[in-house]
Amino acid sequence: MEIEPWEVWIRSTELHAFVQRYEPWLWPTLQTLHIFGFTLLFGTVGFFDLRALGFAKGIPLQAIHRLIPWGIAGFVGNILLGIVFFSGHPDQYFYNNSFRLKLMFMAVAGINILAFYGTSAFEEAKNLPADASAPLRTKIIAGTSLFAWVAVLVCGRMITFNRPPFFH
Amino acid sequence: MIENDSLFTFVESSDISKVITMNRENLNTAAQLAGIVIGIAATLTVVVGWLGFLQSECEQGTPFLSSVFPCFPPENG
Repeated sequence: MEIEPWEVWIRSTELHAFVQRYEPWLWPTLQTLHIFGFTLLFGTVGFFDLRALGFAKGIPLQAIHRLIPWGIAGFVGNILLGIVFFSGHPDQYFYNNSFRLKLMFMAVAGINILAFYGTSAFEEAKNLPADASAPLRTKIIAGTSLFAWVAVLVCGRMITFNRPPFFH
Repeated sequence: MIENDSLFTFVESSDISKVITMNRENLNTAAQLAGIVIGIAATLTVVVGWLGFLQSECEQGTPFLSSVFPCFPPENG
């Protein structure tokens, strides 16, 4: 298969050369950090979602929300790592339905975040005392968030099982 | 040897209510854990099922949503 111009450009970058040169130790190291970043994201955002759904009701949502910046840090770190992975093996990701599905679920999660912070749902959740149930709207947003992030995790794991046949 | 009657003497009603409350909490936790497991399993099924569906559609020559999920040519194609 002929290599597309965008892929030729990525393969000409220093980042691609760096990944290729040090791949044996760099790839597993960055993959480990990628999982660590996801742990930060899921451990904070996922915990927040679970509380909104009715788990651990004794903890006020606002207290859990203070952990969200750690989740954002994990997400930003993972985006940067994802760029490195993509630069190292662009064909493995671009021609991969699992990767495309992963991006779609990330978009769903992003829209869901906008639905939470862009509406009064956030204010309602912020003022929710301990032992109180979240409003239905917040529960729907939390459920969607959990589904989207678990799906992102599953798709990420499935990427290596859906490599294109011309992977090089 | 402790008689059955004496045992009941030591168990106060407040203790019984604590035991009942604990059992309810444990049941609630078990139900929540089951919910998490079912949720993860359902998501896994949806994703893997969808990928399998796309793959089979490509193999049958009837690609589905090929503009988003294209079928890839064989290595020497």
